[in-house]
Amino acid sequence: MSTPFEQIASLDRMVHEPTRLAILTALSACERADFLFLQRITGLTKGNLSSHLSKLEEAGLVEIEKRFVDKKTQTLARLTGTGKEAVESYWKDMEALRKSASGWLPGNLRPATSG
Amino acid sequence: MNPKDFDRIRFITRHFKELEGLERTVPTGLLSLSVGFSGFFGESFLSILLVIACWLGSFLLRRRARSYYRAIFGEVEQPQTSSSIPWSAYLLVLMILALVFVEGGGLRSDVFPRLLLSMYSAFFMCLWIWRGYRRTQVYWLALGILFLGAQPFVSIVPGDRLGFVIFLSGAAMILGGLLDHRFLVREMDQLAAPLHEIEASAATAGMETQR
Repeated sequence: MSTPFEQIASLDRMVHEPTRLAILTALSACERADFLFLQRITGLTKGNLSSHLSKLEEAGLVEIEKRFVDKKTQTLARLTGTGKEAVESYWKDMEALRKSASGWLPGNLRPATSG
Repeated sequence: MNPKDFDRIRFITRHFKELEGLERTVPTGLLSLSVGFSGFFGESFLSILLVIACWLGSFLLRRRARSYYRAIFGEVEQPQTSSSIPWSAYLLVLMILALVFVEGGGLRSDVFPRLLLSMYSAFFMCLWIWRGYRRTQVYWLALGILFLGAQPFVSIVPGDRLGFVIFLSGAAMILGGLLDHRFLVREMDQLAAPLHEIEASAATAGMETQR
């Protein structure tokens, strides 16, 4: 059985970062969302959101699409198959971590063993 | 940022279109009001004026609200099935009502207005369940309509009882839509705050590292 530190260290850092996790959480609840919505729901500046989306796109978790609406460019983001798996797996890992954390003993961060 | 914030992000994104109250629910409520007015006031000049005002208001509000939401909150695309289920159910109810109106007053017994109120109440209750038992004002609206349906005045109200019932339900939809809109605006403002703090602390940490 892995130690709590190993469990935390094994979390996907690309997903675990709070701002990126907020973006991925929003995208996991819809088909796709535009840049403005993601900006409003995360409260990020245009530059920061753009930077995070680029990182997620490079990691293959998000797909970016640009289209013209009323002569204006609209940027849409959607989760890729890998992205969906990564988000699901992350929340499963977090849930497992939460459950095992209840068994951690103070002063000894090894998981409590039964018997 | 805690798990509740992520849960709120998930909820807002999943139900974003339903929560755009000014675009769908309020205009639909206005249409219901117009049906109620025409039934309630008969073919008077006032009735025609109110019906025209409701239709015009519904049309203009829908158009303006669409561009308002796109400009302020952006756009979310949902899977086809998810957002259409409650609206399909509501349209079905409206179609049944329209058929009843066309067919004439055969069904306008004392029972029918109560039955209709129960149907509207069921619609709000479905919406509440659909939203994962959240947004409890929808639940209270459902109970409120059901309570009104149980009151004796529904049977003794002068004029067209059916029109009165549709009028009440339209008013409930408008109220529900306005509450949804207020919730969306408030949540979007609140959600942005924790991440602003994270960004600010990250920026501060970055500046300290540079020193």
